[in-house]
Amino acid sequence: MIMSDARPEFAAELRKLPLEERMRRARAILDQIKVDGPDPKLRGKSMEDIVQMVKRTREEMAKERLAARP
Amino acid sequence: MRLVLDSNEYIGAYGENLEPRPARLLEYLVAHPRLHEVVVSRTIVEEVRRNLSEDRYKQFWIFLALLDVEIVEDWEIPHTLPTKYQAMGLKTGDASIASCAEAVQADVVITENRDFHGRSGLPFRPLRAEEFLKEQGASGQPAGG
Repeated sequence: MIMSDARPEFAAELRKLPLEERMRRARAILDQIKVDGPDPKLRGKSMEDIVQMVKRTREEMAKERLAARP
Repeated sequence: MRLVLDSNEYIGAYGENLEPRPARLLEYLVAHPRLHEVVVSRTIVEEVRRNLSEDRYKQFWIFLALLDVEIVEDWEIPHTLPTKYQAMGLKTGDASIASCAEAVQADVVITENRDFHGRSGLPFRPLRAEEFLKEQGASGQPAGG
């Protein structure tokens, strides 16, 4: 289950905040990304590696969708 | 402008030592929240989930909510569209992203996936993050203002 399915009310609360507050929090997340450093799953990967990784995931998901059809 | 941001743009923001720095696109969108509407498909959200650690995915999810990003469910996309894009030569997964972009009438799909670039006949413009930022006059400088 993905989080947005689990916590729609939380997302709705965030979306209701004033624009300036939302952007302040969004900026804080981007700052936090810099502080935390790279995701361990992405260490040593170039942008092209990431693009290829996503493409593999995308095609896997497409196969899953096809397999799930009645 | 109505934008679809591909998952590689979000995931790239969590990469290391990448140049140009993918996070600049996200910084630009935060600095200019009234200029663009951002849309993603459920597929894109799921791709990010599968390729990031859980805590980073949670950050991403909150980020989408803060930017008021519209999430389009796969079932909202007309089922005839993916076939059309597959006939144009896109792979099945990429066809679903192109279909989402057409369904939401996106002006631009921002992606580093070269399979989208250099194609004619698309109802949206595929741009790399740097190309988009350059068009917006935000290339080569911090997107702070």
